[in-house]
Amino acid sequence: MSLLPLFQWAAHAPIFAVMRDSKWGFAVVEMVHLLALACLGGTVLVVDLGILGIGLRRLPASFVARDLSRLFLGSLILTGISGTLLITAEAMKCYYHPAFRLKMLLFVLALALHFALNRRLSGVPEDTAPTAGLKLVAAVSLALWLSVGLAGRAIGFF
Amino acid sequence: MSLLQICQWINDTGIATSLRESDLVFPIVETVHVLAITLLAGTVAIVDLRLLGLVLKQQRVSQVAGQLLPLTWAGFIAMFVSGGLLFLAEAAKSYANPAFRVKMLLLLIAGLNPLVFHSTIYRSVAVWDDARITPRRARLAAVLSLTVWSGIIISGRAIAYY
Repeated sequence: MSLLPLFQWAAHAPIFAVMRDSKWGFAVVEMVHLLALACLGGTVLVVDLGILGIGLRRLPASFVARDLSRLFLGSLILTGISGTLLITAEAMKCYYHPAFRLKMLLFVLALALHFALNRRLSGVPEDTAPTAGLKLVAAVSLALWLSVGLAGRAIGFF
Repeated sequence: MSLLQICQWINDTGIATSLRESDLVFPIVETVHVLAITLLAGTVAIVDLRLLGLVLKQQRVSQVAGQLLPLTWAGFIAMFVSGGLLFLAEAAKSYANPAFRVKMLLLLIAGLNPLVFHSTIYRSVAVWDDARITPRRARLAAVLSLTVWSGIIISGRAIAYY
């Protein structure tokens, strides 16, 4: 199934008119997107860098990940809602934009890896040091989330 | 020389002009500035949320704050250098931009807040280090910090709209 009709609908739906026509409608949603990004990215950094031995390295990674999962999910929902609204302002541009497509692909990968990492972490006893495999996954996760951010910023540049 | 004249002079220097006219360097610096928010504001927010007893509440305040501080500093350096370069490139425009002025004022408050916090209530952290809910003044500092940093992100984004 093609997603084209969905984007075409979003591009013309009256409910999203405020996103398309109002400068400040778009601006406010963009600000919310950035605020949520700070929390989402902050959580990812603290958990992944902690596994790599930077930052919260003296706390068990499994504990930190579980404790911060609510903050992660909350900011994920907020970035998701604000991000979807941003798409409706330029739905057709996004649909054909290579940076947007890349961002969505990277985002799905980063999210899948995040949940896989959390599942693996939950089986790790709290007093054991992270294995090399776990560190590798954390490094890949960091690189993926960074790429999501880079691709996201690139949407605005061309 | 007035502040405006200084901004105008910075604006006209060779490095500022080449930054402003660069198709590649300017967007890269801007991207670094946006993504480093996660390192600076993200780690500040986690410490603030710990002070409010909302995350990592089973951990000592000093442990969370102390271990995250190097990350916050790294984020600060990235933000300061990239932000400084962005300012160079648009110094004259920034001077008159109301959002930029608000942001600079908020940055000043954001800088003073931890100074006051660390020289007052945080001195007695050993007493309330394990507390899930920290003293009222510590929570006040956390709320102020969260509010001011949100304001900085919002006004920072608004600079582009003026």
